[in-house]
Amino acid sequence: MENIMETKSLHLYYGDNQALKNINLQMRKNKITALIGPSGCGKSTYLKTLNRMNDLIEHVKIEGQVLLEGQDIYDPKVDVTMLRKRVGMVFQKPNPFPMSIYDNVAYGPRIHGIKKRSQLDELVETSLRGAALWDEVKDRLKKSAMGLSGGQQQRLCIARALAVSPQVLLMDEPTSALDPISTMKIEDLMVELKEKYTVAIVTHNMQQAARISDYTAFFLVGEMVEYADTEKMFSMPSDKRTEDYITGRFG
Amino acid sequence: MSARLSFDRELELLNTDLIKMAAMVEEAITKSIEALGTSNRDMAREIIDQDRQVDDIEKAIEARSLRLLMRQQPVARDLRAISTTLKMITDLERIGDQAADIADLSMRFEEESAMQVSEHLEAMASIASAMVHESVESYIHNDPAHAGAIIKRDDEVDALFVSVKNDLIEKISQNQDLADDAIDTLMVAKYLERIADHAVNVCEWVIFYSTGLHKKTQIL
Repeated sequence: MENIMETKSLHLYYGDNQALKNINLQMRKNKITALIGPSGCGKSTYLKTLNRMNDLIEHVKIEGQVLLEGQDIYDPKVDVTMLRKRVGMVFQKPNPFPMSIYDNVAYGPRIHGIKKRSQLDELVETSLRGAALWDEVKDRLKKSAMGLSGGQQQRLCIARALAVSPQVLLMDEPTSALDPISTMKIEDLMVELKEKYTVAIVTHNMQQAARISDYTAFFLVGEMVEYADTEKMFSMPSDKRTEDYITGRFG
Repeated sequence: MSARLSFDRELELLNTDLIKMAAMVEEAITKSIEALGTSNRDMAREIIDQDRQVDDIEKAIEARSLRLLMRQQPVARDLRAISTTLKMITDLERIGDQAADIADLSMRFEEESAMQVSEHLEAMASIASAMVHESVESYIHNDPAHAGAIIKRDDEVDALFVSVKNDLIEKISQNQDLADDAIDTLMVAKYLERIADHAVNVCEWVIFYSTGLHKKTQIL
């Protein structure tokens, strides 16, 4: 099984506070890896280290390695913009730019130098189709993205991420603000997306992790307690803390 | 009451019902074997009547299990507990049916009891019945090692089935008038052999509950 991303002995500190302790995790290519754990366990922090979103926070210190296809993404030679093109991110709250649907999707490609109209048109269409949104918006591409429903906005954000052809998609609780129908659409979409991309998702919804992920990692107070095949994790977890958490016996 | 606490209570009720069902089935076997030895027709009828209660409790457990699957979407130990219950009640219900079938057959013997027709039948009945009892014990005490030991006893039952068959061939060759009783006795032996198999199934689910392994393989 091929790994696309991997962290080795990863430690992360916010000032004196250690938020991640010695995380060794391999992310399998074209699979969905779910990160679960109670609030404050470090799962979102971990996700953010995978495309250096923590760079923006002051007093963050990172030790260990984060490898993307064997290359350390914290190497000073790495171009962060290029890294984020390869490792895209979708957030908890849909955050479309206050511009048209078309321009939202074309934003990334334009930054990366694509100017030709026909090429952009094609990219916008492929990305929106990839995010299962095309049919709903094809007649109003010039309208503001802010007029879309929450679920549509989230799929637009996914389309925006896809437009720059990433290898890995990071999703931080992408459906927690959505209704069940929109959630189902995003979940279906994730399962389709793994054909082409590798997906890592942080979720508080245990059933969601069980439904869609291939592998699950359980985090607790900055440590990765257990990593396993999702079916194994939800039927016969090996650590008692995992068992207590997923069955709701925690605390 | 927290959701987890009420779920725990539901699981406890499920467990209590399962043990109740197992006790009913155990009693049915013990009595059916007694009916075989004594040709006691009243007892045989009583066993056949009581089998309906076994069927009723099976349905109740099934409904409770499905409701918990729907409402709680259980995982890990909870998932294993409910799936183990659902599988075990099917085997227990079959054991109950076969005990009733044995009781039914016991009424057909006139001259000699089934135990007299084949000298190995009593040993077979006692091991099969012990296997059911022990399999239930291994469930109650959540003891996979015990369950594993019971599974091994199935070979003894299978060997005794062959001995019973040989007894009956011998009997028929001596006196063809005994053919009818011999065939009924063979059917009793077959039911006992199946009962032992169901006890083995119960044990396999007991092992699954605590190890996640069914017949030594990871199901999920």
